[in-house]
Amino acid sequence: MKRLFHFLLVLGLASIPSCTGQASQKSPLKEITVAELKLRAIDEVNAADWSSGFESVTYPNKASPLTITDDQRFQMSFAIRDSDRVDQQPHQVFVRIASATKELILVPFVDSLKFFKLDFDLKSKAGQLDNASGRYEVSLIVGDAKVKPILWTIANVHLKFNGEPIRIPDYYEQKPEIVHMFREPEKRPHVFVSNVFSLAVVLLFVVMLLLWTRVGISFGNVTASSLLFQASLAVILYIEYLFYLGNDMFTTLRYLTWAAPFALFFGRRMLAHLAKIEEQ
Amino acid sequence: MAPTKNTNLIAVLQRFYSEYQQSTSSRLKLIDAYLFYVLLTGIVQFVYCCLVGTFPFNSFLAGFISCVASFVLAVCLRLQSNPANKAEFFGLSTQRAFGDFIFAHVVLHLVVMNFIG
Repeated sequence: MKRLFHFLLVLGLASIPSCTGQASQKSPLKEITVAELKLRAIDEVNAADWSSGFESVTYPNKASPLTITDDQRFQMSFAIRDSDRVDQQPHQVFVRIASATKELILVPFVDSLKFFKLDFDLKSKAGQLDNASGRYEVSLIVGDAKVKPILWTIANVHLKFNGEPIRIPDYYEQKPEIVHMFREPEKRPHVFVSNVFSLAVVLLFVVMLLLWTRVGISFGNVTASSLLFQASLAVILYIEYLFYLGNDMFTTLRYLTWAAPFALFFGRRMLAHLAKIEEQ
Repeated sequence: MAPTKNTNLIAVLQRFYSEYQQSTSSRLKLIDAYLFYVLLTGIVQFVYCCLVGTFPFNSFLAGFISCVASFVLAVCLRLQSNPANKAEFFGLSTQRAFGDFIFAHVVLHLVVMNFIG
């Protein structure tokens, strides 16, 4: 907001000559100057007395550096006059207190003698400056449609705030790294338990084999084609096992395309053979 | 009262067993043994899941579903190769049924391998 304000102000100042380019043919821009500028940093108690303790500065010189603590007031008094030493009151008179990152625009008031006066209580604006102690620049901005604008850096001041500086979050600051949390694997059972169950499944297979032998498996009908069929089936299952181990689906399907015709051919022969036996 | 019931039950079971042994063809007995095996494997997996948890859930599903599907396929095979159902599946030889069974298993296991992770 402050920056925007300042920007508009500067824009306004910059555009004054061009805006009034036609008007200036009628009445040229007035040369003005800042006169009797004096400033001081003063304790609260003595602030009401404007008679002494000021340092006078002549335009466009620079005042000696000043230190202002936040229990003090910064006071300034000046007049704006034209070349005929007549007091002027331009529309825009501002005092800007700014560092590289902070900025404060103050509006001086005009007293009965047409003097501009600034009575700046540092504490009251501490929040706007984020309690940031350090070097600031005090400058005077004067602008009007009828006068030549002035931007005068009057002094370097050192502001001292008692409070802790307010840390403003930096928009471009590195944010804390985002660490992706993978789902934690759940607790696995003890190896023993898993082994017992694996063994149970294997045992069941053995039980089935035993049952088959009780029922009676005959190997009388074993032929070359049935053996080849078994082999090709084993190959198919092995390919699927490889798929489980990490082959992708395309590779697997390609292998299966090679293996399947053999299984089909020998399976058909085997089953036809069996059917023939059955018929007889 | 109870003992008679028990003896009745035992007698019925014995009768059932002997009937089964006599009248069922060995081919069907083989399939029955296979069904029994598949059923028990499914139960073992289910018990494991109940006791330990379903942590690799896809693996559990793959195993259990393969059991169920194998069971269903085997029942189909049994139905089709049962001489008593000859009229039902007219023109379908036992060999044809077995071929279908094998083919279905190949496809099933491809899916199961895909699922098991």
